[in-house]
Amino acid sequence: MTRIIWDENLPSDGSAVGLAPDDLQSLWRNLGQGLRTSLEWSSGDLLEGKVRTFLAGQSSSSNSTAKLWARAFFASDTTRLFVYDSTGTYLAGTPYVIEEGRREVGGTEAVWVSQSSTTLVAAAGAPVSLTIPFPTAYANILGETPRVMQTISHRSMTIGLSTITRGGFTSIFSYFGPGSQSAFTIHWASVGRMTGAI
Amino acid sequence: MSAISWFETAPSETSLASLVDDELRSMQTAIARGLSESFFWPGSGDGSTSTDSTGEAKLGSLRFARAGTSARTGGFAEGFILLDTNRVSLHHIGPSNTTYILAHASMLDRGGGVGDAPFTSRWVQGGGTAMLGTDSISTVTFTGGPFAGIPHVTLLSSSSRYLIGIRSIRSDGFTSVASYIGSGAAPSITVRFRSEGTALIGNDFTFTTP
Repeated sequence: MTRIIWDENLPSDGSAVGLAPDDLQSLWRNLGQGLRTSLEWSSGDLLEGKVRTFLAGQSSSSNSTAKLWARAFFASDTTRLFVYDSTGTYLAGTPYVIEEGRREVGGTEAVWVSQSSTTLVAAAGAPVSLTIPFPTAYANILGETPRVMQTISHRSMTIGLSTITRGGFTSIFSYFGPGSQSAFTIHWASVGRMTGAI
Repeated sequence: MSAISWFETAPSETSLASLVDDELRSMQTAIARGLSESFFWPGSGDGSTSTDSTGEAKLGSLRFARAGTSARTGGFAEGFILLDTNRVSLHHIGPSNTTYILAHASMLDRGGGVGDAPFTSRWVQGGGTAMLGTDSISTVTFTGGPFAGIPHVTLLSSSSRYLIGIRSIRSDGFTSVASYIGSGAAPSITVRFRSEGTALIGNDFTFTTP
């Protein structure tokens, strides 16, 4: 990359008027040389790939002034990209993000969301099934339903999964211990797509 | 940061020739000061060496478009990257109705596990269903992949009358065991599985729902 020749002392107070055209041409030439390094200098557009993130160790990240909002910081020691906004500093990218293996088609503004919780099943009536709603229903994208996994707290019961819909799932269970069925807890987790979450 | 002095009316038609040199120098100073906010620039742009006076962009010059959620579908031209300030997230503004989300602040970060740069693998999770043989050992093979190592796998039965377990896990699948504990003839059993691990970039899966 060539260094820009930039002499702010010219034209000097003692310059002859006749030198003005040379000085002006030099100014145009050097200004253009510098600007063409990063800009398409027939239109003023930024050249592709010519802007840069901040680059330093993650501890150097600082979102201190409005001037920094919407700028990006790449942490060279943790390989994470952050973006600055008025309300804080947010993760914008990392090699450590987990990716959903289902085909990504349709729902361009949908994101994969995980919801998990525990559900207490009362002993009364010795139920053999229970429909558990998700806190927030998943989106209807290509007719897909979310993925659900569950574990039971009771050692004298088995549990199965009967049906899954975008709004919830139905667990089925069998008691094979001595005495009567007691209350137990279902620990569950789900993954699906939502369109309004982000 | 000092403000840029910018006088587009100088030199005027009545400027004395003796003043033009001052005005041209002032213009150069103003240009250098303004450009140096984003580019390495000599003179009043603070550049002093060959490496910081080249017109190259400075670190931190990348700045996204910034607006609320409504700007995802209007307000910025195609190709801009938008920082949505309502739900902190980055979006690529494409042709009408093809704005894609690129990243958001709620992404699940595994905190490592894919080695060092240059990164050639990524974390993947997926799942599917498999029909198992009754009271037997069954082998399930993932579609696509394989994982780069041994993934984590969890199983769930469609029936509460089966005891199921995982005997072994491979990079391309797993072997499960199932025992019927109900009365009468054993019905068929379907298991839902979830797998999670790292895979080389380019080794795609075709996991199904759920």
